[in-house]
Amino acid sequence: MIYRLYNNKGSILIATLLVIFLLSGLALNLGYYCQRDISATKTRLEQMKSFHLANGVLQVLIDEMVNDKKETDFDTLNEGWIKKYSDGNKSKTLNFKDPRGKTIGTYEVSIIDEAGKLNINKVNTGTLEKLLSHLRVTSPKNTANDIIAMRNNKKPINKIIGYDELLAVKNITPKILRGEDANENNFLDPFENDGKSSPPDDNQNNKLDLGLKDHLTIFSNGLVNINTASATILQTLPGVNQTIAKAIELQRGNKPFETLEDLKTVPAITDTLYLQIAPRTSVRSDWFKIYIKAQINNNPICKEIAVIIDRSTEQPRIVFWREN
Amino acid sequence: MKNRRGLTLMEVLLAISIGTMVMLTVYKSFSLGVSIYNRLGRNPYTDAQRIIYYLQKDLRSAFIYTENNSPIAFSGSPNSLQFVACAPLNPAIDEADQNDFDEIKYSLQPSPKEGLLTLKRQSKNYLTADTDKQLRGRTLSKGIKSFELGYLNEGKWLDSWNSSGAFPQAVQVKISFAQSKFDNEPDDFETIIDLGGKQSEQ
Repeated sequence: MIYRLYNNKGSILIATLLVIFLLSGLALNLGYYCQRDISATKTRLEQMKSFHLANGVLQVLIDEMVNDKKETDFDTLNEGWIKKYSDGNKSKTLNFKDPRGKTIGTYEVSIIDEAGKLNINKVNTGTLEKLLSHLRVTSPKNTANDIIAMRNNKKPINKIIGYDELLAVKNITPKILRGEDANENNFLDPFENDGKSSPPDDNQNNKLDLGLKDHLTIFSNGLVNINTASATILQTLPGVNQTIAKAIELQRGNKPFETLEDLKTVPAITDTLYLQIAPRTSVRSDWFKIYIKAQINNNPICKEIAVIIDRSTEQPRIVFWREN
Repeated sequence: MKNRRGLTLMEVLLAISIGTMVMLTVYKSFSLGVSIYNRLGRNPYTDAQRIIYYLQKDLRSAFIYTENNSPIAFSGSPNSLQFVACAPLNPAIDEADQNDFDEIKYSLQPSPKEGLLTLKRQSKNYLTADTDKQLRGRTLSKGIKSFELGYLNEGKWLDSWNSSGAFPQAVQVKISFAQSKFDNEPDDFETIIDLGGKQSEQ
């Protein structure tokens, strides 16, 4: 048979084609591996570049945060150093320019005040119960009791150090705990409003439903800053209902509370109510969560960091660092 | 037997030259591809880059509840390191597996190749009810000759670190690989990862 094939005209062409076909198969395979490795390396390079961009922005923010501490005795989310980078609950994309003025990347910043949240390690049952019922947790009273009991039974310190520990409590589901804000920036990102097609699982209602962990902190001194606390948190204060919370929000929108005494200027707050609220509140914040998303020139790879900075000590400290 | 004639010299020469050209091109492209692959995949430089990239990323996210008697420890020996780090932001894993903290371990294990060591990075969820979960991990490099860690505390480099509630000021990493295939590339790498910003003030 081989003899016949050999004798056939054109058989050499078939043999050559066969060899070329085999070789190109091998070459394709090799090319695939090379391409995969090159793209992995490239991804890492882009991640590194965008990380350094994000880290640079963070260092600037830490500096401004420390300067701000010296300047004023009260803290709001409308102060200059925050307004420059973030625009309330909307994302604001800023350009990063090189010394010649050419844009080399973009970044997005969100600043969240930890003192505007309840400290899970200092909160009492009643306050926690109010928060839980606001988040529509079933049987808030028992759940609050369970959480406090769990906290007090912890060894070696009676402290909760991670929000995930709360999942051990009955009635606290992952959905209630985490809400929709997966990247912890307080904005509604597209992937947080697309139903089940990408995590987290959200309800597509064009509204960011915050979870329990977004209302809690483990880092503050336990006093709620009335300049930065959300309406939900304000309503957990003794004697404060929805109307009073709204009045406080309105008042601080016009002029921030520079001292606690300023609370009395809110018409709905009586002297008795003020005396109830005052021991739980302050106008200062020393713990901020900073979220930065940095991207090099429209490259799809971006770096996101969520960092909590403590400026209560002389040297600011990074107490929490999360990145993608 | 008509038509039975040999090839002319010209034909033979032409065939040989075409054949040589084809063979040369194929050989050249293959050898180039193989050398690129070797350079990318398994050389000390990329391995070192990968190890340092992961170490930096994990140490940045390292977490200690900065209060006395923090239950979380940061423990390091001359060639292994174990600590708790904040889990990545919005990970693409299913919700049940999502977690605030990961326990991360870097350790050396014997490599299938004689005389060499394997460096592994393993992690598992921290603070979950599911305590039976095993450490899962990936191999960072298989061709390590030595991997040494140092921990900086008040100006002194220590061999090991075992403390709850405090970080070292910096971690020094020294990695040495088996002889490189390429003469112009180094086999030893050294870097210092700064943890100064995380220091507690106690």
